[in-house]
Amino acid sequence: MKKTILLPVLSILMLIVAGCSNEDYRLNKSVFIEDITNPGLPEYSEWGYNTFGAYIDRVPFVSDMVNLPAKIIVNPDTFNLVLNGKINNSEPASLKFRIFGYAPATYSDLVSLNGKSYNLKDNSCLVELTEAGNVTPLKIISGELKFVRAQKLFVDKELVKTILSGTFHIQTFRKNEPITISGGRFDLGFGTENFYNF
Amino acid sequence: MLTIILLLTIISLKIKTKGGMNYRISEKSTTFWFTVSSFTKRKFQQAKQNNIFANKSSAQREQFMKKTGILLLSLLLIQSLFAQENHRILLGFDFGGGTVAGELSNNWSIRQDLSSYSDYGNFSSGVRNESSIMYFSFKPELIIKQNRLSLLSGLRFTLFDSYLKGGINDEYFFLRYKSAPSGTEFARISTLSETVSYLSIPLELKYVPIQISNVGFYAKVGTEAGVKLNSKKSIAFTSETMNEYSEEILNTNPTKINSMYSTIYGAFGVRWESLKGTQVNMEWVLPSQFLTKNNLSQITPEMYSGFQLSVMFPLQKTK
Repeated sequence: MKKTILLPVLSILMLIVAGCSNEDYRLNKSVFIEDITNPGLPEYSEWGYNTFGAYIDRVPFVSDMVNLPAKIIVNPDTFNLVLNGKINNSEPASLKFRIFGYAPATYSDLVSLNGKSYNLKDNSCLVELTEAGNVTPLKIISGELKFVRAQKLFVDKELVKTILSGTFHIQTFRKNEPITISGGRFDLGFGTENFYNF
Repeated sequence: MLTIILLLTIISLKIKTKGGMNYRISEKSTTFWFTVSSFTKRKFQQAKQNNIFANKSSAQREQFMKKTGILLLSLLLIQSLFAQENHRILLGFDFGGGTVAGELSNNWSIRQDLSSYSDYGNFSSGVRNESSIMYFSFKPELIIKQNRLSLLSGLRFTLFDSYLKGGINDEYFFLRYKSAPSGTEFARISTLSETVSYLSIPLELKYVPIQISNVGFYAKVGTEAGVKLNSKKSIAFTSETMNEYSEEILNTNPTKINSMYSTIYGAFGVRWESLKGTQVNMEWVLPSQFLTKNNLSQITPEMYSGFQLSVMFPLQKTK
């Protein structure tokens, strides 16, 4: 009896919440469209689907539907791109790309990354992997971070975000064992909610 | 061609059956068939003598032979149907409608962030396609086999309405209409609408295998071919400030609507006939195929189904 009353009440509440939600919430959601040639990873896209993914050896490390998949934090002279996701769909982890000497003032300045690629072995770059709260700076054997496309996104003629889409791959060490982070791809929207400059 | 022959035949029969009398057509039909076959034979011999096939490829020759064969077979079919039978002509109207199923056109760039919804038992996400067909026909019907078999043709006006909307819980969807180095532009769209109308000539064969008293159950197959009369597209934004960009956004879909239209269809129906010979038919139109492409630009229509109601009035009294 309780269930029969509870279900319609919950449905009505959900509808009210959906109706009241901010319109731009849809642009902040993650849209995961699986890449059929790389199972477990999202398709490469340039829509601002707020997803990323890569294989750590053969295990997928991908964004999830709940946590914010990416943040950009700009300290005075350092650009930090943080990717938050889960390894093998269970263990929370994050991958941070640090680029020294690049400091965009606002999210709209990120378009200057369009077409740029960074050799992660260079001294101007640093990559950190965080697993179970432990931060490990990665010793890079080889690696590249490529921003295939950086585009301003206008909705109904108003600037709302900058979309960064690109690829990455890294050969490095994890627990003293060489590993490969391959097939990396990201399609992320950055706006006031996930771009920080301080 | 077949339709023209049928219409001419019906007209000639009408002329020859003034006063509402039933008639026998076998002699006229034989003469007709003999004339047509002699004409075709003579034309073919002339073509052979003039060596018109000399410059044609084997595919073209094959196509010519195929067309000729189909024409001759059709004439033979008509002739055999007419042979030694009493015939009646009915004249009437039908009105039908249904839903059109199809795939979303690849020319629309729609962000795939829409909520899932149940679509005929399957879970789908993405824009909702609400497309429908509605038609109105004026049709003569020639009953050619003991009130069991009949041929129908005439004129049909068909109207397609197509609407693309957001998911079941989404008031809008994002359409990407510009992707340039300066930036990418989305518009929040609540509805994309399209209306297309066609005028066509249907050709149908109806068979009534079960007749109980004055109620008959029948099956029908048909095809139609026609031309476009009109088409119109419109767009509804969530923000009125975007209205001035309607044309620009609609033009991002380069699909041109086909000026030709053809379908092949089938139906099951029930017929009630009054003592005076008036018939009322109700039909379930089976999922039917489009033979032409791009009859709508928003979706690629694949099939339609629905219901039809028709009323037919006799031109001659029954025996």
